[in-house]
Amino acid sequence: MRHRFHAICPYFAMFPESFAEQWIGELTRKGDVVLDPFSGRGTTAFQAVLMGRKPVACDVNDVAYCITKAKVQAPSLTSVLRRLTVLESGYKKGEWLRRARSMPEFFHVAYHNDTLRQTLYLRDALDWRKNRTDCMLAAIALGALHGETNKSPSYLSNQMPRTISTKPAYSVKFWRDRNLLPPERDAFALLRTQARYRYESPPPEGEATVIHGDMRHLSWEKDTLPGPIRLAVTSPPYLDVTNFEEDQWLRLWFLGGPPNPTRHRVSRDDRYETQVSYWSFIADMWRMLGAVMAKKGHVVIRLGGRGQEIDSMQKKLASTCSFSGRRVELVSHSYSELKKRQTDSFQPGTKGCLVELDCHFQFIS
Amino acid sequence: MAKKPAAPEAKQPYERVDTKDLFLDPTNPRLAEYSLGEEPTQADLLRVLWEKMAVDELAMSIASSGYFDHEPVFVATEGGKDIVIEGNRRLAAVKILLDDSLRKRLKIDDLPRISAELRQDLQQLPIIRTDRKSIWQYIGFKHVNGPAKWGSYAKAQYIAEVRKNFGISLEKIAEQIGDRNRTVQRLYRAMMVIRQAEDAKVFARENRFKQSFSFSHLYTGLDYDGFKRFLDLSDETSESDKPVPRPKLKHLGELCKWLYGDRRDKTRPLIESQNPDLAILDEVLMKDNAIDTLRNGLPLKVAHDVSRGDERIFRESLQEAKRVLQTALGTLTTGFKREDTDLVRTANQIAELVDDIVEQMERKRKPKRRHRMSEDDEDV
Ligand SMILES: C[S@@+](CC[C@H](N)C(=O)[O-])C[C@H]1O[C@@H](n2cnc3c(N)ncnc32)[C@H](O)[C@@H]1O
Repeated sequence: MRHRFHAICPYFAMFPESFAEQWIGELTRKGDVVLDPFSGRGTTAFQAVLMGRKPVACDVNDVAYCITKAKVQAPSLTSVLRRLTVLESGYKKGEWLRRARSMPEFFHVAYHNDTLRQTLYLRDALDWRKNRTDCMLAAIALGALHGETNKSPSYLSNQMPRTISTKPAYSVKFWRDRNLLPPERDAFALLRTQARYRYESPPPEGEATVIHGDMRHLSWEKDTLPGPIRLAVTSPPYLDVTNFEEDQWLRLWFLGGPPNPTRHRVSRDDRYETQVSYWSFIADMWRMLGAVMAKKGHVVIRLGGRGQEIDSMQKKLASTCSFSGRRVELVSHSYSELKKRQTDSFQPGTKGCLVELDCHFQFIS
Repeated sequence: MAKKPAAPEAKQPYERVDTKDLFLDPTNPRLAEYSLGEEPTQADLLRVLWEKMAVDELAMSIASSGYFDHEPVFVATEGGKDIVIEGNRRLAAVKILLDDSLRKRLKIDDLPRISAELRQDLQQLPIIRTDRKSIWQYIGFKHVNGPAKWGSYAKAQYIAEVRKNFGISLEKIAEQIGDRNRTVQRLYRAMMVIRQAEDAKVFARENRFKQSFSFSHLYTGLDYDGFKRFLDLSDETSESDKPVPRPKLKHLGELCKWLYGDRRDKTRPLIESQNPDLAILDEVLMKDNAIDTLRNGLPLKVAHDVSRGDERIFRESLQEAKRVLQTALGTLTTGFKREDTDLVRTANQIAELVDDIVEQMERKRKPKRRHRMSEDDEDV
């Protein structure tokens, strides 16, 4: 059975665990260090733990960091449930009335009044950055924060997509036009059910390094990594496809961010909008890889793009590897058209058929 | 309106010819960049002159002040026709002023109607009969080096024609028109390079991405070392009509595509504006690995980074940041408003970046410093 942690929380432009599994299996042995500098929901890192490898994961985005860390440094179910009980007993509904009232309109149409107060309380109480148990609870809460309520009882919100947070004004209009009211959910009960469900797969043994920050810093933190990196399996942000900050605004809010979409707050650069800035960013990725990868280390990169551009993306990606300052060889590459299911996870309205490019590189020295 | 002399033919020394019998010059060098085909009609010529060469200004001036009789056009009789070889814009202006149906066809509706008197007067124009060979110096001086400069492509076209038609050496041309900067030789070489590219079919001007043809990119670039190296270009004094050696024609095609793009596959030119892009391209052309980066379709800036190398990039980035931040500091008092909270955030982000950089630089320095100290110890 698929490990239930994988899908704790969906993420935009995530790759399936089978992708990570195949490359990790093919190119590494037990105990090897596996890196994902753009960890997202932590697919590579978690799959690596499952396979007895030592993962290093990194992401600038709070949501990505929280989900990845929850998966690869999971607490026991008992401590999760115990913590929930403690949290629930400390919750006093009356105390959250004023806070709830002060929230922008979006929140009142998105959440039932009682659910909103519980959510605000949890947002305040969970010390997800420092505490593993709270990190797991926050990750589960992130997965439940919004989604297709009409299809499943496991979401706290009014009808919303699960992969991205829609913009406030758009969402409010959407709900009003269709007379959609937020469901009445008990956040504590919902989290409890979700936790039990997720833990039906036991959390794997093994440790992982999770870094919250810009992947460029990895080269400086080389000494703190668990060893030379044998394999990196990763998927950098796609050119012009999404903005991980704007499209995750509600989850970022839950983790302590402002109650509205933002740009340039999480990441100090937002470089994926023009060809120049995008490829300079990819060049920086290669500079970092050149510093941290082991001799003869492998790098597998998945990029997404539209139709015909993908062929030229392959050339460009292969060309930028010279920025690593080392000799790198493109071992193989392949394309695949995105299937319907995955296309759904892309922003509605993007034109042209999306194609994925997988490139396997190896450092020669 | 300047009063016209009552009986011009009595007072003027110049011959006068019916305007309708004067023809525009299809070999006018200024038309060369507009790809008009082998045998453009008079209407084609008029259209291009009108659309591209500010004939409207001239027409307005003639409409209000009349035609100055001491500005004759130069006419050569070729193939039985009187062709204006100097003064095409003036002729075009007069023809347009006289002919309503022409104005309609060219969709010109902002010219004033002219008086019956002026109409009568414009029926004939003062001319000087000559031939091309006799006045090439005059035209060259006036338009290549002198008061009414043409664009560089027209100049180059003109020089090439003079050399070919009258067998005059480039050096002689330069001397005669008073050029001291080797402009004549350089223009000629660039023209030959473009012709080579077109003859070898590695480039065609009509496939360029942008409307206008920026000949000056090539003309200027060919003086740069990177361009010369990339094309293995011969010296500009050689007067060769094939300055690029055969084996480098493929490179020439690539270079033209970088300079001018290609509308067929929607490739934009790398040169958006000559300054600073041309000099950047030159630097890229100095290094083979940077050239490969361009070949793989990466932006000019990325190829430039390859050619600069990280040590230079790092140094220059820090120096530039310092310079720009000093400007910010200098304008803070007058330029920053208290409600600009976004700028406060930006400043804090800059501070964070700087902290990171300083910290990492220190960290990198430390082991080395220790190393040097131990060496000193040994010296003692
Ligand atoms: C395409 S997603 C990765 C998805 C991931 N493979 C998964 O399965 O979930 C790219 C990720 O890169 C992160 N990112 C963007 N810029 C970054 C940077 N400079 N350093 C580290 N992570 C960055 C984004 O936050 C985003 O989570």
